[in-house]
Amino acid sequence: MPANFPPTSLNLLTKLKAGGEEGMWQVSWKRFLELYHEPIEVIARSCYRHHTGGHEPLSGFIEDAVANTVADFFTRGQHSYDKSKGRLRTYLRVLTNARVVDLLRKERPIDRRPLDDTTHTSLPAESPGESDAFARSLLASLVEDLRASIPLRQFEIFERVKLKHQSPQFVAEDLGIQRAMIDRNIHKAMTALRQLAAQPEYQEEFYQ
Amino acid sequence: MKAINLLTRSSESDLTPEEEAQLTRELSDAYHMDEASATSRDVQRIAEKVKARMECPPVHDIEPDNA
Repeated sequence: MPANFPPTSLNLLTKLKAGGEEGMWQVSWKRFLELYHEPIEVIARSCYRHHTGGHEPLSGFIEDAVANTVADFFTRGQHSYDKSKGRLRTYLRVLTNARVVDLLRKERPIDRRPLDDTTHTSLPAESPGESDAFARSLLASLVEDLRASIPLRQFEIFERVKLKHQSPQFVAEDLGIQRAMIDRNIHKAMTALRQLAAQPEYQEEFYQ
Repeated sequence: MKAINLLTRSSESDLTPEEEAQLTRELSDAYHMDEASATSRDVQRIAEKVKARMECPPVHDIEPDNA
């Protein structure tokens, strides 16, 4: 059945964790892919190496694994993400590993080792690269949440100075406002960012 | 990745200049990763595959649980 999801997904993580089918359907899978493709790719590569004795996957294999993981994440019903059972990042690891094992079974492992029934539960340890990629995705989600929760002009100032590294003086002159106004807006935006980061949805995912 | 710890630790005035710089750098990295993803051909190619699978979902052997 074609998936007709809303085109935007503000406060994505909050909506994903809202529980029930409604929370899921409010999130655009394209936005989820943009934000979380990097950690899913890292997990898929790690799982491939784990199950093939250290071989490196082809890029097409990883693309298929990521696509299958994201598609499953948004289409499955009975086995959908349940926040009461664990963190989103844990579920993504388990789901990605399952899709990697599926693809390996179809294509046969490169070293011809048979995949036994326990393979799908055997996960590689989380690498520093995976932790960093997931943290980057969480921070990007946090910035998206911030965009949705503060005045547009305030976010624009925060974005230009803090994220795009434009000088506060340049932004003040460009916007025709006093330099002190730039500092006040950035301070307010940073305060809002801290408040968002303190929400349970993020706290659950933040710790290593 | 220290940004998360820095964000959730006390108030902004408690950050040293080095910590402030690190927080800004990591936020900026995440922002630019997101910006790059939106126009990445690799991500667009994966998106086409996701769309195809959602329109015709495959049957998988393994159904994971996030326990």
